[in-house]
Amino acid sequence: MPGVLPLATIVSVQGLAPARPVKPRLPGEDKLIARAVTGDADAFRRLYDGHRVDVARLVYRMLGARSDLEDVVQEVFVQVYKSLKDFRGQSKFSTWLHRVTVNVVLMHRRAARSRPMFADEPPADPALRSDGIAPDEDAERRERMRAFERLLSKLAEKKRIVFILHELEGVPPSEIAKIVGAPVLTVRTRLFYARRELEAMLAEEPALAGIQLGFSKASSVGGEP
Amino acid sequence: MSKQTGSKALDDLVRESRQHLGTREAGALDWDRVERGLFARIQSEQTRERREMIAARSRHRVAWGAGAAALAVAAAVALVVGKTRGPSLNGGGERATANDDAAGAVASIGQDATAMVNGKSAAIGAPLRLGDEVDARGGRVTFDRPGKVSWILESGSRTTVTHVQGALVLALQAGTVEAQVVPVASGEAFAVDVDGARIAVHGTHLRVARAMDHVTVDLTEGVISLGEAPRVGSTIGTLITAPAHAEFTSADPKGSLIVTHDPGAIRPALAIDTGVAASRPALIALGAAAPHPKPDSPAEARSPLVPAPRPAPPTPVAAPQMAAADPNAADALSSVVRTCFADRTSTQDVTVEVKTKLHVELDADGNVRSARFEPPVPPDVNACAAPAIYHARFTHGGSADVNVAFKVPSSAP
Repeated sequence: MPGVLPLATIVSVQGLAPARPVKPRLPGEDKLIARAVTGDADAFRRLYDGHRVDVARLVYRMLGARSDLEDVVQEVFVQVYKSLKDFRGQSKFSTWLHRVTVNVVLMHRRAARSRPMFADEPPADPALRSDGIAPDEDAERRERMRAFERLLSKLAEKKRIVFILHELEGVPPSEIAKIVGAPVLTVRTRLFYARRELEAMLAEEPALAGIQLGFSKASSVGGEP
Repeated sequence: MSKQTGSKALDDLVRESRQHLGTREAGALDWDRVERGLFARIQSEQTRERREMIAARSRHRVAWGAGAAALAVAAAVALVVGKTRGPSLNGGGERATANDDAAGAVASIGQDATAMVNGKSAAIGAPLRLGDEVDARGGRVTFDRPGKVSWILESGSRTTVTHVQGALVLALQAGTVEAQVVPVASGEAFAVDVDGARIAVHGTHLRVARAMDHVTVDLTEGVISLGEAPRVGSTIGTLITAPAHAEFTSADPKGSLIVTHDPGAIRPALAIDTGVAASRPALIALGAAAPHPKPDSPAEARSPLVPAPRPAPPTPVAAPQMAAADPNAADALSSVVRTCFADRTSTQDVTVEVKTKLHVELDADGNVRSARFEPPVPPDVNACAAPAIYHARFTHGGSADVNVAFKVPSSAP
């Protein structure tokens, strides 16, 4: 029956082992949080400095290249400021921050859907901006990343979120479950289907069709089947 | 492409994406622009908070004349559960709705009682806000934050609302607070601060009373965490599970804490009547409170570490059936039944009209010997109300009929 999956199969889906763990705590993070709650601007700034790039990267991964990326990142930290007093320390700050970020991104997407978009308004691609950032990575990799962004954007929102959080951000399913407010099993199921759909889409993505061949060759050289 | 190849290709792509997808773009954001906007908005937020704080403080300048002796006497007021004044809030539309910055509203005011908010008399439906100082005079006042917590401020008690975002936190200056808290999935739903000590709850029925720096907590349901009030996050302290009676001094909650799980030492929970469907009836029991010692009595000066002269013991609870006769027992039982019904129907999109009669046979001393509903009520309602019924004590022997008639409105919006 299509769509029905044996439980054991779902539970065993892991994808790649997280290569990079969730960001470690900043030194003295608990104290910084406590000070920031009392209105200590310096403490808040240090929290912001310590997490801003991670937040921006997650926002980018969820939204793709957009002209309003900075606005969304700013909104995340405004929400962090407003909600920090409700952070109860029962989960890691990074988990809580992921949750705030995901919520802001989802709100932004909903708002954007109800907003008219001009046909001639091209999405900004920071990698292509003429602001002095030299494209020092090779063109092939940039093309792969853009192609992968396209694939991710084709995933349904719920699957995309769990896939990005787990596979790219290294967040374990148990914490994703807290972030998205779903059971762990549901998170694993979404991960399974996200992977399966991405695998199927890989073959249809021209920019990746040749690249995956390249991966396969590289793997063979490495001795893997 | 085979499935295995596709999976391997995806793994390789994911591995590369972990390092490169969005990494450079994130670093290349116009951070100056982000920060300018961010800190301007935060500054604006801080200005708004300061304005609110100043407004709250200005309301605190009200002088209070209630003396400590009066507080102690007030704490001994017999239970008058369900005896409220004013119109029911059901469908009244007067009550403030709970939102992020509202602490709830006055739900009912006991007979002869006056609810004071920031020194001014408040009527049923009057909303509470952050910083409000609340005082119950001459009787019990019930507050309700719909769907979250219902709490009673006993006569002569005074408290200040110190936190409303998420958890409701009250700073108890004097007297007694009793609360029925709807459980939350995570975090703390309600807390009472007594000086530097915090009694934080996730969902429970508890009663917190203070006399000077001596604090007693009666926990009839759930779990509380007792410790120093944190500046942020959850209260890290001693976990106490129900049923329990705890006492401590606010200056040293950890060192002075005495906990007993002896049911006889625990004061039964009040039925908190907010005039609307209660979220959970919890353990409802009726009885009369023993007088708390006067704050300046020798008992108050003793350390709670000396167990023998425990101040403010909930004496009638040791033998609930020996509770003092309650002239309002019939009203109280009616309220209990209503609460039990309200709970079971609160999740249904129907309006339930209930008409029944509770017939009780009484011993000569007013204790309930047997009881039956005519017509019968559902078993769960029966079970819910039974503890309260059999703990009630009337002022007369023989028998009594308690008419129960009310409507539980649909919970559908």
